[in-house]
Amino acid sequence: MKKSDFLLASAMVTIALVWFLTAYFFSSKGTMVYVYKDNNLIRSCPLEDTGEYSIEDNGTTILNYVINNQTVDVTFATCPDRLCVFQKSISRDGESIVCLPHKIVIKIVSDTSFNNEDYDAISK
Amino acid sequence: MQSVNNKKIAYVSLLVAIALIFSYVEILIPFNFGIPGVKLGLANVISIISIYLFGPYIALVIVVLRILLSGFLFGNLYSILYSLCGGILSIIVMSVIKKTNKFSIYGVSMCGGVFHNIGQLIVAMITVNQMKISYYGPILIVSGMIMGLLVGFLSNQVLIRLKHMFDSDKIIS
Repeated sequence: MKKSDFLLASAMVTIALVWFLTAYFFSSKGTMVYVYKDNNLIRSCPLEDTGEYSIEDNGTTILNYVINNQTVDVTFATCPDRLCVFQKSISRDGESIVCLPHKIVIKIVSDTSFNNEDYDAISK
Repeated sequence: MQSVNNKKIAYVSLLVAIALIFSYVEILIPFNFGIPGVKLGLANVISIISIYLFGPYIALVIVVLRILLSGFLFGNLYSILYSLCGGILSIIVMSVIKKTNKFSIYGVSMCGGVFHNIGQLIVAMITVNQMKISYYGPILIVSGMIMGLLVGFLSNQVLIRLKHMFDSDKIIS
């Protein structure tokens, strides 16, 4: 390995580190859980709503997720690789669990950094 | 822009076949870290040695053929889309990096691994229409680097042994 390889490797690690730290320090505790299927918001609920939820397609359950202790975790899915089940549970703003085969995205949003693409305003 | 001859056709077909086997073998190895998109990338060994032995254009042909064939055999339309994006971006970046002559094969393969992941990430972002992939990027960069180093080591070993078959000034090891 040449010296420039080490420089390249260090540059990449630095970029990854900066990216990670930026994401971590700019993230705040989430307050709402948004569930998207095929890029459509199908449901949303506060992070406090503990319980088990399932997403169905034509009557059959394709994914189950659990909200517990202010974290969301996917517990069951019918996709072939089940990567969504293995993904870490999420709790902070901006974090998401994605099931690409089913095109399901479960993400956490907080009031302070609001995703303006879907709603202009929400009244509570 | 290059002449086609029987020798090239034979070599390209052989390499595509070997790359297909590598893709298949990778499916057999359970490599599950719970992070989508982290895989060994064994078929990238073929991509890299193709760039070093035959140049970027033929390497691109080999990669696209391999992805299409393995997609039809083992995958589905979306897996083809992801792999195409990652594979093509990876070949382009690797060829550019190699042309600068400033990096060894390890630098080239690290870039290949990282940009393969970035290409797939871009397709994923477009598919699910989410711009926020906060924590995922760093993971892909680091795993791309590590797998790239491994693939680089394997490619180097292969190239050392194949050196006598081709023009030795085409090969940097």
